[in-house]
Amino acid sequence: MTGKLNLTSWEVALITYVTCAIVSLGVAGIIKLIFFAIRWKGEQQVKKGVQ
Amino acid sequence: MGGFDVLYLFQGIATLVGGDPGISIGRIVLIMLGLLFVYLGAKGILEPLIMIPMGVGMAAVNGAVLYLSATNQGTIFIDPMVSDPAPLLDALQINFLQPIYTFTFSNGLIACLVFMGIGAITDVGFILMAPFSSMIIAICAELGTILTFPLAVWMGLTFKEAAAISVVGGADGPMVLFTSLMLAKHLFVPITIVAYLYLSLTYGGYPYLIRLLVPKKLRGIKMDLKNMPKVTPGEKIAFSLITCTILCLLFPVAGPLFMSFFLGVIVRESGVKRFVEFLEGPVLFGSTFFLGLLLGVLCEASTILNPKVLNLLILGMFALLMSGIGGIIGGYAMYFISKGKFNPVVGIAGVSCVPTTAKVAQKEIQKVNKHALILPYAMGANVSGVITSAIITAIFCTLLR
Repeated sequence: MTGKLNLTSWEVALITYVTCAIVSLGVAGIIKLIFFAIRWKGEQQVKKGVQ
Repeated sequence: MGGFDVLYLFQGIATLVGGDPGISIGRIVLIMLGLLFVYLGAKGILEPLIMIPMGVGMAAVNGAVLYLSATNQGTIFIDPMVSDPAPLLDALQINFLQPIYTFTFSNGLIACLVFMGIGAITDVGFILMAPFSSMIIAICAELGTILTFPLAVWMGLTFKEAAAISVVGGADGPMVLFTSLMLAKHLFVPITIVAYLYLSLTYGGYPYLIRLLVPKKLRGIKMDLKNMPKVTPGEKIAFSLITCTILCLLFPVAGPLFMSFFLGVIVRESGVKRFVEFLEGPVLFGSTFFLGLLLGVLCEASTILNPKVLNLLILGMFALLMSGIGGIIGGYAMYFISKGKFNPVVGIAGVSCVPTTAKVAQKEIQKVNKHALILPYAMGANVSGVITSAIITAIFCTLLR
């Protein structure tokens, strides 16, 4: 068990994996958001140009 | 002349003959191993960038053991164990590689410099094209890291030592170096050597794993590259800045690694040619050269002959094997999610040995289908693997430090 957290090795492994998965998918979500934001801004500028 | 001992003149041999037999045999074995590494590196069987300086360092340091005093043996290359200020000051003035070790190795700077260089040669556009599939594969490819940790504890290693060796499953040399320096400094030499040795072998071993786990029919699947979005440098910079800041906020302990990697990426994408040339040339190759050389020099018989080394060899192999299997499981997951349009071999690239595993995946696919191009997807999984490995390193360091 870890001194500070009183966890077994399997618990540490599980916490690590689940946290890694959540944060990594969060990063993927950020990427999608950036894409949408930039593309949306681009489309707005094109629309303004057409008007 | 009568009292002159000829061995006093050749102290490397004198210490070999007069020293502890176990250490002497270890020295001979390590000298031979060093020569073998140089040969295999020069032949291209092992990674030459690491193996050539490492092999030369190993052979030289194990030959050059001399009498430092009447009873004390050692070398004038490096003293990795010295930490008190006064002996450290002496060591800095005597051992010729001590300044590089003390000021770049023991504080993890060299890992960050390598990471800056890797950032400068990495196109994050590949991950931006298919972020979710890349990340899912990379998460699966951390299976080896996760399974090795409890196994290592079961085999008698402490939590910190277990975390340091299990990071080998992420297949990222600088990350292993960083974690072992943070968590198990006394074992960082054998752990880092095991890591770099095995990482060199992924190029030879993973093709067999692919052929074993993925049938020929699936290996030939052609992936759609026409509908992949084009990514601008501005989008890459925005992604790097936001991700770096968030990851630093979440895991400050690995902040130097995150900053180094994304700084390299941002410099590349901002197009400051002189900085790009500096990072991808002198910084990356300079630090890789000294990394290899110092790893070799640290392979002194008295340091490396540790009863835990055999366990580390087994665990390192297990970690990389399971990560490869996990990556292919991720590839299969994407194959089923995409209803058969995703080539499962891409999964092996989730093991973040940039860009080796991506190249291995492309090479294996082209053996079956010459027209199949999967490199952009494989590089996406590869870069994602670097990010997931850094996240796992950060979590281990935060939980266990």
